[in-house]
Amino acid sequence: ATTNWDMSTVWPDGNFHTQNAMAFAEEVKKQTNGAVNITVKAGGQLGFKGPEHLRAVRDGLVPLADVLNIQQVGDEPFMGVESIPFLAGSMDELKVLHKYVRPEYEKIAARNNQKILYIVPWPTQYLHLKVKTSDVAGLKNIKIRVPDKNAVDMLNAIGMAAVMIPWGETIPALASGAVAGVSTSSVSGVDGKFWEFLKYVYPTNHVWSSQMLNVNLDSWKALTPEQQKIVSDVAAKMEPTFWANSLKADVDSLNRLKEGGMEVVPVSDAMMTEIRAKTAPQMEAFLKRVPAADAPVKAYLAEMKRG
Amino acid sequence: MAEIVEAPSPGERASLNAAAPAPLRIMLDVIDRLGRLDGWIGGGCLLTLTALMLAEVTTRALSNVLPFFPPTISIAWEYSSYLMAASFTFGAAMTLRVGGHIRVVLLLKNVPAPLQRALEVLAAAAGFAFMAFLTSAMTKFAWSSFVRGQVSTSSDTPLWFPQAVVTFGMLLLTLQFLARAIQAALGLPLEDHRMKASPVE
Amino acid sequence: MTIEVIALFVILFALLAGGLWIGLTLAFTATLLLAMFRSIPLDKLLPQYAWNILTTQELLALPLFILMGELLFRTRLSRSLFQGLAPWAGLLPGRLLHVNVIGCTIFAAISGSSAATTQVIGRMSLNELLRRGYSRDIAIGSLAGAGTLGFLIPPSNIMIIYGVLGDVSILKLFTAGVLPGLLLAGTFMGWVMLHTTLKPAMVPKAEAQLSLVPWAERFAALKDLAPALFLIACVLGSMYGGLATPSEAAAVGVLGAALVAYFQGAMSQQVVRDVMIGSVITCSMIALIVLGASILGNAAAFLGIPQAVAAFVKGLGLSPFMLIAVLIVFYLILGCFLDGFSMIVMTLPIVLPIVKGAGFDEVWFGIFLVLAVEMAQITPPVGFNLFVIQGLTEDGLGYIARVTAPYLIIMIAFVLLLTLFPGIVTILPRLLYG
Ligand code: NA
Ligand code: NA
Repeated sequence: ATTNWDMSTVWPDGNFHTQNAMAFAEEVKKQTNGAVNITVKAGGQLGFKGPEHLRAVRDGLVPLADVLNIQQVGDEPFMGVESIPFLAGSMDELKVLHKYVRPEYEKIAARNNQKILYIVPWPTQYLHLKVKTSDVAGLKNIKIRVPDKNAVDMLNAIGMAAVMIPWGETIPALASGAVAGVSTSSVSGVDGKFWEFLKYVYPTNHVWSSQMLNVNLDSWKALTPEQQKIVSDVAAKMEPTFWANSLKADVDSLNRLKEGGMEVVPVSDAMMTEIRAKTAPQMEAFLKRVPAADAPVKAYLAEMKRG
Repeated sequence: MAEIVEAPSPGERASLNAAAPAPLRIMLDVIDRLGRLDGWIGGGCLLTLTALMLAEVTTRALSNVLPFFPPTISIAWEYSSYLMAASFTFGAAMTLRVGGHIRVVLLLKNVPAPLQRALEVLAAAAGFAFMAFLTSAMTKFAWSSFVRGQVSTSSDTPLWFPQAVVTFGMLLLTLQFLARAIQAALGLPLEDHRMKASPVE
Repeated sequence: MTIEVIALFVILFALLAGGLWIGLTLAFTATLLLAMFRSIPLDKLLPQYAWNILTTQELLALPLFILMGELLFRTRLSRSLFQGLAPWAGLLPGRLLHVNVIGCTIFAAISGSSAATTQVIGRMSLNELLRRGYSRDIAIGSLAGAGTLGFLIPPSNIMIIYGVLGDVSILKLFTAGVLPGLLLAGTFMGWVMLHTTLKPAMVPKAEAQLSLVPWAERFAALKDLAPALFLIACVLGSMYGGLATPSEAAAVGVLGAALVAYFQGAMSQQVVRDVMIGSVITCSMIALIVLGASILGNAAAFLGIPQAVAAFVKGLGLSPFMLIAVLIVFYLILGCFLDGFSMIVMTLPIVLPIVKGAGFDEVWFGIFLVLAVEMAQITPPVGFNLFVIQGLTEDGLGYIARVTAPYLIIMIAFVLLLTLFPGIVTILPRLLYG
């Protein structure tokens, strides 16, 4: 018998996460001889929004969904751990962080009646701005669009004026000057064709986030043990490629931003130190709010010799 | 609020359910009254959301020149969307009562009166059944948000509260459908056009 | 797949004909389809959908513009707009009937939604046109047709959705919509002139004097347009002046309309009451249909219906021109029972690659899609502009659809024209952005 699974994602077809999911679906189909058939339904067409994906999979509304961890903090505060400012400075550091936080993610998934098949990070975050500056003072009061509360706190801490408006309003707002910057990945920068409105990209690497492909446990248990093994093996085998795709998407997108006419402005050590200092209290605040994060984060910092 | 509901032109509020037997009549009147009240709440939500949006625009503009104005009201968009949902659902019952919801009446208009009445009862009963299902599901939905302590991602607002408000709006629509099914079965007037905004000459 | 499609049509049309309210019909149909063909816990799915749809931030401008429309309708602004335009429109055959098209064209530059455009302009113009004795058919038909310009003339919600999903520059799409938008408006006006020349009885005799107004009076009448201009300045100024995002600008429009009403001395307790109740009724009416249409769209996505049809079209291996012709038919049929947003989201992943493969420009195709969605707005049984007008006039859906048909035909012809001369779409973005 064929198992047909719909997979919900809010990202468009061309996004590398969606492309990853499609590659995964194809490989699963091949390895199971067509017995497990995953259909990727992109662009939010099934009617779920990002912050609902954990719940949608939990309640069996959809068997598979691309769950963005930081969007689930309303249900599971721990999911915001990667967005502690400057916790990880690169994808390699993020890999180490995942070694400590992934077991927690899996526990959270399990208590939400689901299982993580693979996790793939978004490329690092940049500040995309209209102005060029070499110090933090130059960032003062710049209206910058951010996606969530955590980013609001962080950018306000360094003196910027963070504004939370929907993505659809962001492009017209950039065009008219209602906002003068966006904090996001280079991939989203290309999606928004930022070179049409903005001039400078600052590789601040301030926060991270990861997409996890989660499967509902009831759907999972309906597979035969052999099928389960094939699916998990495919996921485990492909995950490193997907991480590489994320890195590649970052490089490609940054090049595309440059081609469009944007300039990558290196962030000086002095400026970085100041930003880190100003946002440091956010880690304490997070660990206090989410005690479960204390142990894994401390263990990670110890391994990075930053404890 | 209550005074305003009673205010409009004298004699306007004679019950359309007068021909119904006494206990039923009271129930139908109560539902109609609730329908009117919720229309006003819906209007209030609409005005509040306008004010919230304007406040956001104003403070963002002023913060450019007067730094002590915050650059943004971080809840503006989120709360506006809750207010929008509230105004959508709260107005729904009154809209049904004034005949504001749209339907295809081609068949209804061209069949003999007894069949028309039967179809009206059927349509209202179907509306009641669907809305009753949706309302009970929505109640569980809001309850589960409450139990799990679910909060919004953009402001940590407990979601059960706006969800409960929307659920209540849906409940009123469900009741209005019930009233309509009874009104249709008893042959009472189905729509109360007096509640509509007065036409401009 | 065939069985799902048949079930969809049977349930949908049975419920519609039975007189169930349209929004409920759509939601009910979706629920039954999912219950029959999928095993999803509906008691959890439906509230999640309802909550999502009712709190969609992209919808926020709609209630604001409805409020603004009610304010304009219940104050003297609509009357003074007519007084200002009458001596000018009087120069054209068809006289004041052009107010619909001109009004919608102007308002389309303010609002990103075609339902809002139809509602606001219809609120201001329909009563006045009918009071003056103009043909009901043209008054309603031209409003339904021109109201769709809300999507084609920037800003446009549909272009934003297409731009985000199709990875196309929204700025270029906005620019590309201007010329076709104005041309289509011109074509609508041309049709109104032709129609009224062929049937002079559609314009009241008394209005003939409008062409005889002395020029001095004509210029003097312009002062009556001042409140309308002030309002446009409020919305456009805040939007392009960098003070407000497009949705926020709608709130500025409400404030502007309230100020105009106040200074015209038109604000009374009764007016405030009527504006509130009128807005709530319109909002709830539209919201119930949006809710049903979105749920049906999601159900169709679950069942993969539009994808299957699009894949069928792909399999046909058509020539570029035939492809566009088939796509028009495809979207016309989809548009009969889905809303524009669902249509785009579900078909784009399959259709966009075919169209690009056939050598069409992605900006051009965006404009094509916008026109397809516009047509969907005026085809029964699910056509938002038709519903909005029904809310305004209480005419039957069949009648409104019938008098709108000429404008639908014009739009189909217009799409074919754009296919033959794609430069109409691409020239402005090329000139401005290379
Ligand atoms: Na527009
Ligand atoms: Na339609």
